[in-house]
Amino acid sequence: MRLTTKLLTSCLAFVLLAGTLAGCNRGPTDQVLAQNVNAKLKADPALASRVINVTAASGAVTLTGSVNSEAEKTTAGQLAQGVDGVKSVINNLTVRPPVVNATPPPVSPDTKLKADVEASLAKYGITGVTVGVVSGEVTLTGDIARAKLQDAMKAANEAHPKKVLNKMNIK
Amino acid sequence: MELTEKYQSLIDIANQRGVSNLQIATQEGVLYVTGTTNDGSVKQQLWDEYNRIDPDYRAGDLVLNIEVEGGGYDEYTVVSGDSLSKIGKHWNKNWKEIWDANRAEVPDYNKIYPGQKLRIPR
Repeated sequence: MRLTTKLLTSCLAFVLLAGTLAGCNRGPTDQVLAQNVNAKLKADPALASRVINVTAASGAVTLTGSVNSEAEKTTAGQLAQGVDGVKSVINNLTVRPPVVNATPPPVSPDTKLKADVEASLAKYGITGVTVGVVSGEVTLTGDIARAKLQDAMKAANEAHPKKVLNKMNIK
Repeated sequence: MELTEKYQSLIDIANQRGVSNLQIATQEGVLYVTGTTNDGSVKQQLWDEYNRIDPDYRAGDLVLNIEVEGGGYDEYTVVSGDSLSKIGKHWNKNWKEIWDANRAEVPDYNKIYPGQKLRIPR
């Protein structure tokens, strides 16, 4: 009886050990796999600047996000497939080519444009900037702190102008 | 240089970050980039890119208008002489509402600093 127990215990130990070893042979964990695929994609000059999300489950890698062309999508899939330990790739990347269309957005009438830019400047706590509007073209003059420059430009850009001319003195 | 080329990196970011209704047009030497997002950080990233391409915003060849939809925050840079209540008045918000949105960075509502970025809830 005692012998049987002992035998059973060592068997169990062996099985556990074997299990661990097999686990080691299974290759990188899904988390590491996702990281490796990500690194591979980032190493590609075109794909480096795309936003691609990589997840892995039991060696199956899923790519989501967007790229600029079919060619980029194919490349991403192939690169992922080539990473050690990847069993399959689900390529859910969407292709979104940059849009260039002909019609510019509508321009606000001058009086509204001026009022909107001034209200927006006030919201951003900007004083000492004068807003001039002629035929949809907004000209900003006066002194502006560099820290506030972007806010002032946002105020002008978001009021639906035809053009924004920054003549401000940046301090 | 074509304007779309000059601002290509900005257009790329808008595409990648999933700006919806993204419209890109050129007319009389001005490039128009408009669209909407529900993530305020996307708008900020685009402005930072604009800033990188034209640090002083002198060229007058881009109109960038990215609307942030629903919830989210506007960003406000504190100038000297500001207080939460003064900022609140401009944005039509109670000062406490603004404080609540910035508690982590502003433990004491009396202490905000010029240059500090505050989040203004929409």
